[in-house]
Amino acid sequence: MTTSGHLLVVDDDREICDLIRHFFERHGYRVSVAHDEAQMQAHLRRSNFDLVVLDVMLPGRNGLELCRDIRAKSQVPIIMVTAVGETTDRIVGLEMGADDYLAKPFEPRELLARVRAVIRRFAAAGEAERQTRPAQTYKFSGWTIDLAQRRLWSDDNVVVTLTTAEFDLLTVFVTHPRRTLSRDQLLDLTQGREAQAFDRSIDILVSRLRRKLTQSAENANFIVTVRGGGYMFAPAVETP
Amino acid sequence: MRRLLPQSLPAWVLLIVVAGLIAAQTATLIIASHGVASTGRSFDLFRLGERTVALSKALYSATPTARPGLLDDLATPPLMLSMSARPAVTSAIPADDELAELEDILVAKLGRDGVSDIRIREEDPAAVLRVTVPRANDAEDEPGNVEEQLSEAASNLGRSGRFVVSVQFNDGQWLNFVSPVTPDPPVLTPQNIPLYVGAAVFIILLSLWTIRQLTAPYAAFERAVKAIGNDLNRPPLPETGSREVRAAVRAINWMQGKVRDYVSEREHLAAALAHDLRTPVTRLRLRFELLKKQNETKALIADLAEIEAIIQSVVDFASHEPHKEASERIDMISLAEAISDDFPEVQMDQPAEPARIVCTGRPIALKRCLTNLIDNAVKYGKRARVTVTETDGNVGVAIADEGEGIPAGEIENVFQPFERRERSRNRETGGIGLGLAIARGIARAHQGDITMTPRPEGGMKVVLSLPKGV
Repeated sequence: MTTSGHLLVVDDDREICDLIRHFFERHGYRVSVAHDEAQMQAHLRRSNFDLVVLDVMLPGRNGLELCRDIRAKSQVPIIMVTAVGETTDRIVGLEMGADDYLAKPFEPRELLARVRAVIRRFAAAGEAERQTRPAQTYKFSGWTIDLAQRRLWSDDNVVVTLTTAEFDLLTVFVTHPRRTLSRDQLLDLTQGREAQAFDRSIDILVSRLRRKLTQSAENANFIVTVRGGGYMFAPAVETP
Repeated sequence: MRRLLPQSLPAWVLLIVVAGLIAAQTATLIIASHGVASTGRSFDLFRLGERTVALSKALYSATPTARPGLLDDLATPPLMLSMSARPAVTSAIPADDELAELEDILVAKLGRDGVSDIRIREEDPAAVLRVTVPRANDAEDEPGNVEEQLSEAASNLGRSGRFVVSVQFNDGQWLNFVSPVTPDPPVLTPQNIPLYVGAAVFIILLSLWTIRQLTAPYAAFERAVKAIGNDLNRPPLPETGSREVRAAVRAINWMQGKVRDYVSEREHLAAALAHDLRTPVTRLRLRFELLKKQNETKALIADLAEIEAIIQSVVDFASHEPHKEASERIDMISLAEAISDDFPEVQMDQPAEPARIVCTGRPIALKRCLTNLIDNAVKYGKRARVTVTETDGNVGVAIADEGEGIPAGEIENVFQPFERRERSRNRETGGIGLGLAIARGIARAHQGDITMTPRPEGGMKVVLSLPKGV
């Protein structure tokens, strides 16, 4: 059996570590576990991991600091696991260089999907992109999108709410501007978020996004339909 | 009667002050007039005594033939004199103790001067008026200033009573004379009325100012307590003002601290609960996922999801996260639309114009509030229709469902924590009855509210109304 990747799971709860290991092994991953900082550092020195799953609540130094330490030395993707709905934890976690965030208690399949998505994204990105972590805030045609807070502002600074699936799709677009993306690519890149992303076809989501983002005629065509199948995000995207 | 009584404290105090003022001034006037009257009477009696002594001595020592001439000389108006064999005062019984005492003193004094009996009576003005007092100086044409005063005094004297005195000499002759009683001067005169009015106005103005000073802290307390109700973490009130006000301010600040402690205790409890439960729940989820028999685990996973939802709602209810979140301008249409999108049973009315309805609030809190309302409508009302409207200064989100409705008397109950409609106590609808309580708490924290009314077509209509804010 070929392994899908080698994961390092850092959590002080031994049972959770074991259960995650079993779960991921069943899905073809190789899993190492660490219960504290020393074990984690030892593992990181010894082998190369495809991804680290890091709990925020750890004895001694917390996961956020460990995340920053790892990021200082290596580009290995990190998924932070934090307490219920602590928005600030998520924002800080992403600022510390984590690639994604998941709240405890999580759906194991959700963790699996995110692990896959992050590894895929990391593999797809070029060397240069790996060095620079994706920014958290983007601007395009007057809109501002904050990926950490998952919030979108219009040009007059009004919060416009999108569904999870719409937000995920917009995230893919702003991180891949002016590039033709096929429906399959879009599906791939949005997977790993909530299950809803699978519910609606990409076409419906695109038309809904178009409607919500169209405030006036001048910025009408945000998402261009490319002949031959696919979409392209037309506006120039800036990172502040 | 109750309606006539003033309802506010200042009106009460003012009423008491004015009533007290009237009572005090009336009492002062009465006391003053009594004082003047009694002084005047003592003086009158003293003068009457002197006059009796002088007249008696003069007339007794005169020979009977010289007496008529002497009487004429002595009778200067308003004093009237006469001598006869009979007394003008016919009754020998004294009128009152005071006059009787005077009679006794005079008899004792004049006993050696040939006086055997003295009778003094006082006649009231009504009786006197019938007697015309001869005017002095009738002949004189132009009365001078002094004479004018005298004649005024004489006419005043005519209006008051008079003393009638009969003195019996040893020879059986009676000396009768009439002497006027000095009238009491009026208590209220043009000179002292402005003084009384001025004092009254001054006292009323002073009390108005005092009342203002006294009641201003009440208004300040009212504002302060309301402000604490809206924001428990506001800085304490400054302890200034009178000692009583400072004590009350201290008490309010103390209460604020206490309430804040309770609330933070509740939040800590919820946070600890959520934190300690997340590890076992995470383990359970992983275990279920690893179980071989997938059919059975589906139900277990559903149960677990329900437990998690309950934990989440307790945390939401207990923690005041909305207070920590920063306010933003939020488009309510896209918010309602995104939430409705998660429920297949919910239909969102797309307003043609405007495309956006903006209100200022805390995004996560408002999203939770609206989610709870829509979720509740779907649970009990099967299908729901969501409409966002905008009126002057207010944003309204109406959620109309098609359920059985709620009797009018029970509407308030559904907003109470841990309250659920009876028929919902089954697994499908679940929850522990915190959804609407949380939603209303959030709405009120935004200075808005949630109302629930029955629809004529059946089902309920829930309206979340929020001030637009800046």
